[in-house]
Amino acid sequence: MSHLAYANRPHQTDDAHAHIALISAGFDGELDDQELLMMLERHQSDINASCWQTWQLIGDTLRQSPSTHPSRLAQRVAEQLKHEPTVLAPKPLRAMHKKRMMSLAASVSVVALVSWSALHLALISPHTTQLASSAPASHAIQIAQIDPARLASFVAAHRDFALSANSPDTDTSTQTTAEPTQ
Amino acid sequence: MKLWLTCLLFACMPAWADAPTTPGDAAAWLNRVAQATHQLTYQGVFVYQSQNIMAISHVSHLVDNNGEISRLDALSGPPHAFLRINDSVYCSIHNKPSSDIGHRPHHSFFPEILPYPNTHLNDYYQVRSLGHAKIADHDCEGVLLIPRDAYRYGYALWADSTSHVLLRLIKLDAHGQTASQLTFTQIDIGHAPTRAQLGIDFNDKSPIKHNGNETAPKTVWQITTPPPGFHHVTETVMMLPDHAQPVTHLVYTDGLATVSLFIERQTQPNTFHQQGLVQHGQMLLYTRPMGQYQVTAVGAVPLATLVMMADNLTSIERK
Repeated sequence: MSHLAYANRPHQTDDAHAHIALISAGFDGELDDQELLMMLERHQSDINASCWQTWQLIGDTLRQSPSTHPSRLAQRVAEQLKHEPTVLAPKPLRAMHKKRMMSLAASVSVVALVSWSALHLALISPHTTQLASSAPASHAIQIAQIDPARLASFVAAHRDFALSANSPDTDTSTQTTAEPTQ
Repeated sequence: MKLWLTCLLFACMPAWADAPTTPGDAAAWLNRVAQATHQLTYQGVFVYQSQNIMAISHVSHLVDNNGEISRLDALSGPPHAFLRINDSVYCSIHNKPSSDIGHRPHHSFFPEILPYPNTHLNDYYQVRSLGHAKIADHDCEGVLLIPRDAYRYGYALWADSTSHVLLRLIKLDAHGQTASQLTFTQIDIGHAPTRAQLGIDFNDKSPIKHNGNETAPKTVWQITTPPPGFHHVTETVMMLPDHAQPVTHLVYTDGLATVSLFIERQTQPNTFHQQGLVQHGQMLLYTRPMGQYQVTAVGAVPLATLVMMADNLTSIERK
């Protein structure tokens, strides 16, 4: 970051991100000496030993250069864990209950959807199966030869009582030529 | 509270999902549709479609103090009309001086196809809701009738959700696909021509009466073990075209699926003495000899149904 850039940078004392970015730039060597001094004077109170170590570690890692300051990562993690308070108290009931119930609800919904789909399949499948197997005798029955006129008369007479009886394709000639039964 | 409501909604999902597939009382719904279709007055235009056949008809149904009267006019094909006054059915052919009369208590026009007053269709079909759809500008409620056995095919019915008049019937085939359908394209529920207007074309024609049952058949035919749900509807003796002898016509139905059995005496040995199957469009015909008779079962039903009926037919000679 150039001096000009630093000078023109909006001084966002309230902007934590800009604040940290500027300090980070100083540790990354992106500031010249004068800029660095200005940054240190302005943000001295924000910089402590921990920050120095952290930023230097990050910089070394990114540059893939041996750290001049051993990170002592494992040691520092162990120390951090040692200082972490042991949480024995349960999490707030509301939050935990909410999570459990949402999980339960999600499970129920999944089961419901699966069951619903299965129910549909179960209802339709037997029908299809039954229909598919509804002509078991067809293999043993031969094709018959019926005179077309006789066949047509059977079909026309049947349509008088079937669902298609009043359909417009009913053969009306059959009805007009029928004679009284003796 | 919101959490519990959320959980309740999730828990209720099966009920929601199941609601459209399990009507509360399928039998009551079917009876309500049958009753409304028979007892309400309406008129409209419906289309019949089957494979490559499509035709249009106009139907009028009037209910007054004198009973029911229905008229069906073909708007396509050869001009003809049917008139049903209670149990008598008339057929008027354009340019013909006479009208055909038949006493057919079970002959009804679409949409009067459901058994009435009581239907037991749900004993032989599973009823599943199809939800709502708009037919002829009417909000309709549909149900799917899934056969419980292999002796019948399925149907889909749609009825006006307010009046419950049947507006669409789809007949399914062995594969569950649409075999044919009858559906209104326009209907006016609550209005129909007057009784005089409905019979105006029939008044000047002399009736030809046939299909009578005046002579009691000498032979009583009955099916010892019909397929479940099929019951005997009627028996007539008639002369059919191209038949030398009178033919006995038995009709069995489960309320929707109908099977006819034609029984004719052989006048000469081996005249048509044969056994086998014929398919005619959606119709199947199964014929077999039975002593000196030839039995032919006809219907748009599975072959197993025809075979079971024809093979279980017995006769009792009256003295």
